[in-house]
Amino acid sequence: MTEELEQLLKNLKLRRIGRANLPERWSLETFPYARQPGVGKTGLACGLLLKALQNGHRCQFIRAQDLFDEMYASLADRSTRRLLNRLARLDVLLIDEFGYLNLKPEQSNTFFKLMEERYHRHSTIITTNLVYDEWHNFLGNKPMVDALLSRVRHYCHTVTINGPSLRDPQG
Amino acid sequence: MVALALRQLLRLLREYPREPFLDAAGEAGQYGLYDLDRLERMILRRVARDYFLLLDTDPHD
Repeated sequence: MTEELEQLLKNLKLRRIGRANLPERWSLETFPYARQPGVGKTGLACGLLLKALQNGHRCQFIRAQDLFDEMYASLADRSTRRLLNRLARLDVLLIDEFGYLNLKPEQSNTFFKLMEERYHRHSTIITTNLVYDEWHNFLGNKPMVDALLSRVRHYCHTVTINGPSLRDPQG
Repeated sequence: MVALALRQLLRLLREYPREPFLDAAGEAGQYGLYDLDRLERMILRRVARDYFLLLDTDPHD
């Protein structure tokens, strides 16, 4: 009985890892080490996400481009609330490659709502090449970005990684 | 994959009235929504009131 239960829990964990959409299975022991492109931000973040998954938390990996596309598409069939509820409930949300996107005001507003709903409740990992001062150029609407940053930075740990690019030609 | 999507789009075009179909497709395209299941729900929401009218009956009758 205990073995069956253990197997069930193991399968549940594996299914959660499968559903988290991780691009690669980097663990914290093996990830390639990150602010310039190619220095390992995504690898580090994926390692943390995998660790959370292995500890039984509900997690999701999403590329910023896909997140903002999904937020904009949800306006068409009025499913923004449902999308926000789903994302706001996740224990850990990893948003990868935040920055260098052309955003519409609706997308920025929805993103603000998402972060507002996750603030104080669940963890969010964001990988980006942008320093905080550059977020205004990217998201627009300075007062909103100030409010967003005050929430994001309240409990956040910023990891700045400098180093050689892991994508340097090897040949 | 593309053929399946085109077949589904053709079914929507044949099954639903033209005006709500075009209306929903236009709005979906405007917001970059290319999920045909969600497009169908948008069409259904538009035609619901035309095809599934409930009679106004007095609940006490």
